[in-house]
Amino acid sequence: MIVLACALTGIVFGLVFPYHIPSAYSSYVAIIILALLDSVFGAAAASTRKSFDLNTFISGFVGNGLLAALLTLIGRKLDVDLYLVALIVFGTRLFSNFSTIRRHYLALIVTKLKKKFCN
Amino acid sequence: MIKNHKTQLSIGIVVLVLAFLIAIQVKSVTVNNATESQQNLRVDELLGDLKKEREKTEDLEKQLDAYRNDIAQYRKDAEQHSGYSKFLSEQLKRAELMAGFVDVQGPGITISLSDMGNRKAANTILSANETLIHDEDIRRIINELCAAGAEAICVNDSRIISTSAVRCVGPTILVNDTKMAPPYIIKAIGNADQLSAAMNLNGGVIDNMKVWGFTISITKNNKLVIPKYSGTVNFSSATAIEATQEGAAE
Repeated sequence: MIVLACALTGIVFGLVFPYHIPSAYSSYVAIIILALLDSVFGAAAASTRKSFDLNTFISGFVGNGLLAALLTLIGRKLDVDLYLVALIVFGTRLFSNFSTIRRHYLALIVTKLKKKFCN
Repeated sequence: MIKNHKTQLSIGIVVLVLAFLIAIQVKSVTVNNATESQQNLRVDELLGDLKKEREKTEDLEKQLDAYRNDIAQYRKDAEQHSGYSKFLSEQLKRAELMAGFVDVQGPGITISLSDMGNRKAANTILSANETLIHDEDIRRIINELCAAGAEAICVNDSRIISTSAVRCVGPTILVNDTKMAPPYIIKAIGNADQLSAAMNLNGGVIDNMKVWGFTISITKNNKLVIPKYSGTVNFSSATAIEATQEGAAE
Protein backbone atom coordinates (compact mmCIF):
# COMPACT_ATOMS: atom_id res chain seq x y z
CA MET A 1 0.00 0.00 0.00
CA ILE A 2 2.73 2.42 1.03
CA VAL A 3 4.64 1.62 -2.16
CA LEU A 4 1.60 2.32 -4.30
CA ALA A 5 0.89 5.58 -2.49
CA CYS A 6 4.51 6.62 -2.94
CA ALA A 7 4.36 5.88 -6.68
CA LEU A 8 1.23 8.01 -7.08
CA THR A 9 2.72 10.86 -5.05
CA GLY A 10 5.87 10.72 -7.16
CA ILE A 11 3.93 10.92 -10.42
CA VAL A 12 1.86 13.82 -9.15
CA PHE A 13 4.97 15.64 -7.93
CA GLY A 14 6.69 15.07 -11.25
CA LEU A 15 3.76 16.42 -13.24
CA VAL A 16 3.36 19.44 -10.96
CA PHE A 17 7.09 20.18 -10.84
CA PRO A 18 7.50 23.45 -12.76
CA TYR A 19 10.88 22.76 -14.39
CA HIS A 20 11.81 20.35 -17.11
CA ILE A 21 15.08 18.67 -17.96
CA PRO A 22 17.00 20.07 -20.92
CA SER A 23 17.42 17.58 -23.76
CA ALA A 24 21.19 17.44 -23.18
CA TYR A 25 20.63 15.78 -19.79
CA SER A 26 17.66 13.60 -20.59
CA SER A 27 19.87 10.59 -21.34
CA TYR A 28 21.30 10.78 -17.80
CA VAL A 29 17.83 10.84 -16.30
CA ALA A 30 16.77 7.96 -18.53
CA ILE A 31 19.67 5.80 -17.38
CA ILE A 32 19.06 6.72 -13.71
CA ILE A 33 15.41 5.76 -14.15
CA LEU A 34 16.54 2.39 -15.46
CA ALA A 35 18.90 1.94 -12.49
CA LEU A 36 16.07 2.71 -10.07
CA LEU A 37 13.72 0.35 -11.89
CA ASP A 38 16.37 -2.34 -11.64
CA SER A 39 16.71 -1.70 -7.89
CA VAL A 40 12.99 -1.91 -7.31
CA PHE A 41 12.63 -5.11 -9.29
CA GLY A 42 15.69 -6.49 -7.54
CA ALA A 43 14.13 -5.71 -4.18
CA ALA A 44 10.86 -7.37 -5.17
CA ALA A 45 12.72 -10.45 -6.41
CA ALA A 46 14.80 -10.58 -3.23
CA SER A 47 11.73 -10.34 -1.05
CA THR A 48 10.20 -13.35 -2.85
CA ARG A 49 13.38 -15.24 -2.02
CA LYS A 50 13.16 -13.85 1.53
CA SER A 51 16.71 -12.52 1.15
CA PHE A 52 15.89 -8.82 1.10
CA ASP A 53 18.52 -6.67 2.80
CA LEU A 54 17.85 -2.98 3.32
CA ASN A 55 21.51 -1.95 3.20
CA THR A 56 22.14 -3.84 -0.02
CA PHE A 57 19.04 -2.26 -1.50
CA ILE A 58 19.98 1.33 -0.64
CA SER A 59 23.64 0.98 -1.61
CA GLY A 60 22.53 -0.76 -4.80
CA PHE A 61 20.20 1.90 -6.02
CA VAL A 62 22.49 4.80 -5.12
CA GLY A 63 25.62 3.09 -6.46
CA ASN A 64 24.02 1.74 -9.65
CA GLY A 65 22.44 5.10 -10.44
CA LEU A 66 25.71 6.96 -9.97
CA LEU A 67 27.74 4.42 -11.94
CA ALA A 68 25.23 4.48 -14.81
CA ALA A 69 25.30 8.29 -14.93
CA LEU A 70 29.10 8.24 -14.76
CA LEU A 71 29.27 5.75 -17.63
CA THR A 72 27.01 7.98 -19.69
CA LEU A 73 29.24 10.96 -18.93
CA ILE A 74 32.46 9.13 -19.81
CA GLY A 75 30.82 7.75 -22.93
CA ARG A 76 29.90 11.27 -24.02
CA LYS A 77 33.45 12.48 -23.46
CA LEU A 78 34.99 9.54 -25.31
CA ASP A 79 32.33 9.52 -28.03
CA VAL A 80 31.55 5.86 -27.28
CA ASP A 81 27.99 5.00 -26.30
CA LEU A 82 28.98 3.55 -22.94
CA TYR A 83 25.48 4.05 -21.53
CA LEU A 84 24.56 1.04 -23.65
CA VAL A 85 26.51 -1.08 -21.15
CA ALA A 86 24.27 0.06 -18.32
CA LEU A 87 21.24 -0.24 -20.56
CA ILE A 88 21.94 -3.87 -21.41
CA VAL A 89 22.93 -4.92 -17.90
CA PHE A 90 19.92 -3.27 -16.28
CA GLY A 91 17.62 -4.52 -18.98
CA THR A 92 18.81 -8.11 -18.62
CA ARG A 93 18.58 -7.99 -14.85
CA LEU A 94 15.16 -6.46 -15.05
CA PHE A 95 13.89 -9.42 -17.05
CA SER A 96 15.62 -12.02 -14.88
CA ASN A 97 14.28 -10.41 -11.71
CA PHE A 98 10.85 -10.22 -13.25
CA SER A 99 11.01 -13.91 -14.14
CA THR A 100 11.92 -14.71 -10.50
CA ILE A 101 8.90 -12.74 -9.27
CA ARG A 102 6.68 -14.28 -11.90
CA ARG A 103 7.70 -17.83 -11.01
CA HIS A 104 7.22 -17.14 -7.33
CA TYR A 105 3.68 -15.86 -7.67
CA LEU A 106 2.82 -18.40 -10.35
CA ALA A 107 3.85 -21.16 -7.95
CA LEU A 108 1.75 -19.58 -5.20
CA ILE A 109 -1.31 -19.33 -7.45
CA VAL A 110 -0.89 -22.87 -8.73
CA THR A 111 -0.64 -24.30 -5.23
CA LYS A 112 -3.73 -22.33 -4.19
CA LEU A 113 -5.71 -23.57 -7.19
CA LYS A 114 -4.60 -27.14 -6.55
CA LYS A 115 -5.80 -26.86 -2.98
CA LYS A 116 -9.13 -25.50 -4.15
CA PHE A 117 -9.71 -28.22 -6.73
CA CYS A 118 -8.48 -31.02 -4.49
CA ASN A 119 -10.87 -29.88 -1.79
CA MET B 1 4.60 -9.74 0.83
CA ILE B 2 7.05 -7.40 2.54
CA LYS B 3 6.33 -7.39 6.22
CA ASN B 4 8.77 -4.94 7.73
CA HIS B 5 7.42 -1.39 7.79
CA LYS B 6 10.89 0.11 7.56
CA THR B 7 11.62 -1.93 4.47
CA GLN B 8 8.35 -0.98 2.89
CA LEU B 9 9.00 2.68 3.59
CA SER B 10 12.49 2.58 2.07
CA ILE B 11 11.25 0.85 -1.06
CA GLY B 12 8.42 3.37 -1.11
CA ILE B 13 10.87 6.26 -1.10
CA VAL B 14 12.82 4.78 -3.98
CA VAL B 15 9.60 4.19 -5.90
CA LEU B 16 8.61 7.78 -5.18
CA VAL B 17 11.88 9.06 -6.64
CA LEU B 18 11.48 6.67 -9.56
CA ALA B 19 7.93 7.79 -10.30
CA PHE B 20 8.94 11.42 -9.94
CA LEU B 21 11.82 11.01 -12.39
CA ILE B 22 9.69 9.08 -14.89
CA ALA B 23 6.97 11.72 -14.82
CA ILE B 24 9.41 14.59 -15.19
CA GLN B 25 11.32 12.80 -17.95
CA VAL B 26 8.17 12.07 -19.91
CA LYS B 27 7.17 15.70 -19.53
CA SER B 28 10.64 16.91 -20.58
CA VAL B 29 10.77 14.67 -23.63
CA THR B 30 7.36 15.96 -24.72
CA VAL B 31 8.44 19.57 -24.20
CA ASN B 32 11.77 19.05 -25.96
CA ASN B 33 10.13 17.38 -28.93
CA ALA B 34 7.65 20.22 -29.14
CA THR B 35 10.42 22.85 -29.20
CA GLU B 36 12.26 20.85 -31.83
CA SER B 37 9.24 20.73 -34.08
CA GLN B 38 8.79 24.43 -33.45
CA GLN B 39 12.32 24.98 -34.70
CA ASN B 40 11.46 22.97 -37.80
CA LEU B 41 8.42 25.17 -38.26
CA ARG B 42 10.73 28.16 -38.03
CA VAL B 43 12.87 26.71 -40.81
CA ASP B 44 9.78 26.29 -42.97
CA GLU B 45 8.82 29.87 -42.30
CA LEU B 46 12.30 31.08 -43.22
CA LEU B 47 12.18 29.05 -46.42
CA GLY B 48 8.95 30.78 -47.34
CA ASP B 49 10.51 34.16 -46.59
CA LEU B 50 13.50 33.29 -48.73
CA LYS B 51 11.27 32.38 -51.64
CA LYS B 52 9.37 35.65 -51.30
CA GLU B 53 12.59 37.64 -51.17
CA ARG B 54 13.87 35.84 -54.24
CA GLU B 55 10.74 36.77 -56.14
CA LYS B 56 11.16 40.34 -54.99
CA THR B 57 14.75 40.32 -56.22
CA GLU B 58 13.63 39.08 -59.60
CA ASP B 59 11.09 41.86 -59.86
CA LEU B 60 13.68 44.44 -58.88
CA GLU B 61 16.08 43.10 -61.46
CA LYS B 62 13.42 43.48 -64.12
CA GLN B 63 12.84 47.03 -62.95
CA LEU B 64 16.57 47.70 -63.07
CA ASP B 65 16.71 46.47 -66.65
CA ALA B 66 13.88 48.80 -67.58
CA TYR B 67 15.69 51.76 -65.98
CA ARG B 68 18.86 50.86 -67.81
CA ASN B 69 16.99 50.88 -71.08
CA ASP B 70 15.65 54.32 -70.19
CA ILE B 71 19.16 55.57 -69.51
CA ALA B 72 20.37 54.20 -72.83
CA GLN B 73 17.51 56.01 -74.52
CA TYR B 74 18.32 59.30 -72.77
CA ARG B 75 21.95 58.95 -73.74
CA LYS B 76 21.06 58.42 -77.38
CA ASP B 77 18.91 61.52 -77.28
CA ALA B 78 21.67 63.56 -75.63
CA GLU B 79 24.25 62.46 -78.22
CA GLN B 80 22.11 63.86 -80.99
CA HIS B 81 21.85 67.25 -79.32
CA SER B 82 25.37 68.60 -78.90
CA GLY B 83 29.01 67.77 -79.51
CA TYR B 84 29.84 68.06 -75.83
CA SER B 85 27.26 65.53 -74.76
CA LYS B 86 28.57 63.24 -77.48
CA PHE B 87 32.05 63.56 -76.03
CA LEU B 88 30.72 62.87 -72.54
CA SER B 89 28.81 59.86 -73.78
CA GLU B 90 31.94 58.43 -75.37
CA GLN B 91 33.85 58.91 -72.13
CA LEU B 92 31.09 57.18 -70.24
CA LYS B 93 31.16 54.30 -72.69
CA ARG B 94 34.87 53.86 -72.16
CA ALA B 95 34.46 53.98 -68.41
CA GLU B 96 31.66 51.45 -68.56
CA LEU B 97 33.74 49.15 -70.73
CA MET B 98 36.55 49.22 -68.22
CA ALA B 99 34.27 48.86 -65.22
CA GLY B 100 32.47 45.86 -66.70
CA PHE B 101 29.04 47.41 -67.12
CA VAL B 102 28.62 46.53 -70.79
CA ASP B 103 28.57 43.22 -72.66
CA VAL B 104 31.87 42.74 -74.39
CA GLN B 105 33.16 40.47 -77.13
CA GLY B 106 36.54 39.55 -78.47
CA PRO B 107 39.09 36.75 -78.73
CA GLY B 108 39.96 34.80 -75.61
CA ILE B 109 39.91 31.44 -73.89
CA THR B 110 37.32 29.30 -72.16
CA ILE B 111 38.30 27.16 -69.20
CA SER B 112 35.87 24.57 -67.98
CA LEU B 113 36.38 22.95 -64.60
CA SER B 114 34.50 19.96 -63.28
CA ASP B 115 35.12 18.06 -60.09
CA MET B 116 32.89 15.11 -60.91
CA GLY B 117 34.91 13.47 -63.67
CA ASN B 118 38.04 11.69 -62.56
CA ARG B 119 37.21 11.03 -58.96
CA LYS B 120 37.64 7.30 -59.46
CA ALA B 121 40.61 7.64 -61.79
CA ALA B 122 42.54 9.45 -59.08
CA ASN B 123 42.28 6.10 -57.29
CA THR B 124 43.47 7.43 -53.97
CA ILE B 125 41.75 7.83 -50.68
CA LEU B 126 40.69 11.45 -50.88
CA SER B 127 38.17 13.15 -48.68
CA ALA B 128 35.21 14.87 -50.32
CA ASN B 129 36.88 18.14 -49.42
CA GLU B 130 39.86 17.36 -51.61
CA THR B 131 37.84 16.31 -54.64
CA LEU B 132 35.85 19.54 -54.77
CA ILE B 133 36.83 22.69 -56.60
CA HIS B 134 37.17 25.47 -54.07
CA ASP B 135 36.78 29.21 -54.23
CA GLU B 136 40.55 29.34 -53.80
CA ASP B 137 41.07 27.51 -57.13
CA ILE B 138 38.72 29.84 -59.00
CA ARG B 139 40.39 32.86 -57.41
CA ARG B 140 43.83 31.66 -58.40
CA ILE B 141 42.75 31.14 -62.01
CA ILE B 142 41.17 34.60 -62.15
CA ASN B 143 44.32 36.08 -60.66
CA GLU B 144 46.50 34.32 -63.21
CA LEU B 145 44.23 35.43 -66.08
CA CYS B 146 44.43 39.04 -64.91
CA ALA B 147 48.21 38.77 -64.70
CA ALA B 148 48.28 37.42 -68.26
CA GLY B 149 46.40 40.44 -69.51
CA ALA B 150 42.77 39.38 -69.56
CA GLU B 151 40.50 42.35 -70.13
CA ALA B 152 37.19 40.82 -69.16
CA ILE B 153 36.53 37.69 -67.11
CA CYS B 154 33.36 35.92 -66.14
CA VAL B 155 32.63 32.78 -64.14
CA ASN B 156 29.48 30.99 -65.30
CA ASP B 157 28.35 34.28 -66.90
CA SER B 158 28.86 36.24 -63.70
CA ARG B 159 31.19 39.08 -64.61
CA ILE B 160 34.24 39.68 -62.47
CA ILE B 161 34.64 43.39 -61.70
CA SER B 162 36.80 45.33 -59.29
CA THR B 163 34.55 44.62 -56.31
CA SER B 164 33.78 40.97 -57.15
CA ALA B 165 34.18 38.36 -54.43
CA VAL B 166 34.60 34.62 -54.88
CA ARG B 167 33.63 32.65 -51.81
CA CYS B 168 32.78 29.13 -50.67
CA VAL B 169 29.28 28.44 -49.42
CA GLY B 170 29.07 24.81 -48.44
CA PRO B 171 29.62 22.69 -51.54
CA THR B 172 28.86 25.57 -53.90
CA ILE B 173 30.78 28.68 -54.85
CA LEU B 174 29.46 32.20 -54.58
CA VAL B 175 30.61 34.65 -57.27
CA ASN B 176 29.19 38.16 -57.01
CA ASP B 177 26.49 36.80 -54.67
CA THR B 178 25.43 34.30 -57.36
CA LYS B 179 25.53 30.70 -56.17
CA MET B 180 27.00 28.27 -58.65
CA ALA B 181 27.81 24.60 -58.85
CA PRO B 182 30.18 22.68 -61.13
CA PRO B 183 30.95 22.70 -63.98
CA TYR B 184 32.53 26.11 -63.66
CA ILE B 185 33.12 27.82 -66.99
CA ILE B 186 35.54 30.71 -66.84
CA LYS B 187 35.70 32.92 -69.91
CA ALA B 188 38.39 35.52 -70.42
CA ILE B 189 38.84 38.01 -73.23
CA GLY B 190 42.38 38.97 -74.15
CA ASN B 191 45.24 37.67 -76.23
CA ALA B 192 44.19 34.03 -76.57
CA ASP B 193 47.71 32.67 -77.07
CA GLN B 194 49.05 34.59 -74.14
CA LEU B 195 46.18 33.56 -71.89
CA SER B 196 46.33 29.87 -72.72
CA ALA B 197 50.11 29.88 -72.38
CA ALA B 198 49.72 31.36 -68.89
CA MET B 199 47.15 28.71 -68.03
CA ASN B 200 49.21 25.80 -69.37
CA LEU B 201 52.38 26.75 -67.53
CA ASN B 202 54.26 23.79 -66.09
CA GLY B 203 53.67 23.89 -62.35
CA GLY B 204 51.07 26.59 -62.92
CA VAL B 205 47.57 26.85 -61.52
CA ILE B 206 45.93 24.35 -63.86
CA ASP B 207 48.85 21.95 -63.62
CA ASN B 208 48.53 21.91 -59.85
CA MET B 209 44.79 21.35 -60.01
CA LYS B 210 45.12 18.46 -62.44
CA VAL B 211 46.99 16.52 -59.74
CA TRP B 212 43.71 16.22 -57.82
CA GLY B 213 41.99 14.63 -60.81
CA PHE B 214 39.76 17.55 -61.82
CA THR B 215 38.49 17.55 -65.39
CA ILE B 216 39.88 20.73 -66.90
CA SER B 217 39.73 21.83 -70.51
CA ILE B 218 41.09 25.01 -72.05
CA THR B 219 39.91 26.14 -75.48
CA LYS B 220 40.89 29.20 -77.47
CA ASN B 221 38.06 31.17 -79.06
CA ASN B 222 38.16 33.76 -81.80
CA LYS B 223 34.99 35.40 -80.62
CA LEU B 224 33.81 35.24 -77.04
CA VAL B 225 30.89 37.14 -75.53
CA ILE B 226 31.09 38.11 -71.90
CA PRO B 227 27.97 39.57 -70.30
CA LYS B 228 27.93 42.76 -68.27
CA TYR B 229 27.88 42.87 -64.50
CA SER B 230 24.26 42.40 -63.51
CA GLY B 231 24.28 43.89 -60.03
CA THR B 232 24.77 47.42 -58.87
CA VAL B 233 27.81 48.94 -57.26
CA ASN B 234 27.37 51.69 -54.73
CA PHE B 235 30.41 53.50 -53.43
CA SER B 236 29.39 54.98 -50.12
CA SER B 237 32.77 55.35 -48.42
CA ALA B 238 35.17 56.06 -51.25
CA THR B 239 35.04 59.45 -52.95
CA ALA B 240 37.28 60.69 -55.70
CA ILE B 241 40.02 63.15 -54.80
CA GLU B 242 39.78 66.21 -57.01
CA ALA B 243 42.89 67.21 -58.95
CA THR B 244 43.06 70.63 -57.26
CA GLN B 245 42.78 69.08 -53.82
CA GLU B 246 45.58 66.72 -54.65
CA GLY B 247 47.75 69.65 -55.66
CA ALA B 248 46.94 71.44 -52.41
CA ALA B 249 47.90 68.40 -50.41
CA GLU B 250 51.25 68.26 -52.07
